[in-house]
Amino acid sequence: MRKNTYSVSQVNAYIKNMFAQDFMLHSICIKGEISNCKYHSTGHIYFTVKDEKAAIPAVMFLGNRKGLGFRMKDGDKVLITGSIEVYERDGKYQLYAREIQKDGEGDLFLKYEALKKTLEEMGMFAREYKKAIPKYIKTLGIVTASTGAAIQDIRNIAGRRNPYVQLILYPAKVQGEGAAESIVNGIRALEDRQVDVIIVGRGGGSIEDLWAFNEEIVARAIFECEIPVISAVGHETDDTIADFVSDLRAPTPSAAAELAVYDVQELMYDMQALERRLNFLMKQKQELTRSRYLGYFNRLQLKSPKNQLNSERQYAAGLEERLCQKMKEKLTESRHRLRMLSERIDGVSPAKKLSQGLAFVVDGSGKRISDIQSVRKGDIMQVHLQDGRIMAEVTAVIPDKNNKKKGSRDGRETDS
Amino acid sequence: MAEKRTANLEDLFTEIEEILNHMESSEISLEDSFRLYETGMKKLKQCNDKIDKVEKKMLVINEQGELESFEG
Repeated sequence: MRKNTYSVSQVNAYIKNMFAQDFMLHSICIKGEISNCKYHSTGHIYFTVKDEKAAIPAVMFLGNRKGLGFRMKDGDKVLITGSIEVYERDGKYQLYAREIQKDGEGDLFLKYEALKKTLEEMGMFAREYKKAIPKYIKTLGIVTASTGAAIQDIRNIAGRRNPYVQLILYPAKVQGEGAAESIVNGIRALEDRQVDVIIVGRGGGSIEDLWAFNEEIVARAIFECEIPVISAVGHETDDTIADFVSDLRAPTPSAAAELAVYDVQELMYDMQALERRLNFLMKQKQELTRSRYLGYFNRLQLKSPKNQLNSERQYAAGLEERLCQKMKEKLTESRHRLRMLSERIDGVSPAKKLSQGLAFVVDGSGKRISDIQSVRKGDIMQVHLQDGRIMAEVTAVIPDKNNKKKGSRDGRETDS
Repeated sequence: MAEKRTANLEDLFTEIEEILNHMESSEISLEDSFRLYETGMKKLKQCNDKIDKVEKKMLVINEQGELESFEG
């Protein structure tokens, strides 16, 4: 009657296979509370999921860690998606987690999406409704917790940029029961105070922590507020309804303070720059006008009667000078010519010839004798020499045999 | 009240910018330049006067809705 016997390994392998073939166990979502949570040095997390009556061991391997968005600890209510498989060695089954979410988060997310959709359809996020943030404010209202980093960050940055801006804090409850109402009251109270801008916000936190900023009454209070509202909820990655409905969304409370409070130093520089530009333009205009004036003045001066007279006078003086010059030239030229002539005259002077040993012969009546034609033997003639004259009697007339033109010979002699 | 005064500062700046742009166009007369300059300087002074230079302590609205200094 003995039935077939199996080894333990066979049994465990068989059961493991049964589990593996079960479609539901392969991908299952389990709701429960965490206990015995251990982050192992290998990166795997070992824990137990339990409810009031039962427990199941669970593990999340390192490779699946991206499915866990928070630091899990004992007592956390969670939703775990994964598979249930058998660990053959020990003959135990356990939950292999792929994704772990905090319980309630999924609901909140759905609520958030639904409200976001509704308000968007109502046009509450529309650009047309966004009020401009005034640049130079005097009072800044802040709705946030009086304790915590947010108010200190805002205070520090506002004080550094412009200590002359009055900050008014409405100390609101920003998380937990009654937080939304508290934030709404804060917005209304600051609206009554007629501040210039309101910052509504808080520091970072989980979706539950930030939840008040996803409540419809907060969204409506921001939307209806007559004063521009800057939202500053959590970190840059946290999108709350308040961020969508506000007039300006700041990534953090510090950034909100930067956006709301102008830098007074910068304003002073800007004003100095404006003053410099005004002065420069005025000076430039004056200089331009002055140079145009000088230009016209000079041109007019040139056309004045006095100037014209002067130029006529100058012309006359020029003419006079030219006249004098010409006169002088003429004189010099004449003088020169005179000298030339006198030198020439000097050259042909009879007295000079006489001084060279030649004689000038005239007949008795004083008529010049230049040839022998009119000379007869016995004539008396006068021979003029350099230093006196000789009275001479012609003893003979002898014509020159080979010289027929005596006159020309004479002329040549006087010429040379 | 506060809002009106702060808006003024922005308006004044816009006006001064306009004056400067006007002065930059060379087509205007010297007299107009002088007039614009005077106006611009006056507006700058107004801007300066508008900047309240008294340091402020942060205030907090208490449960009675009254303002008191913030001890944070």
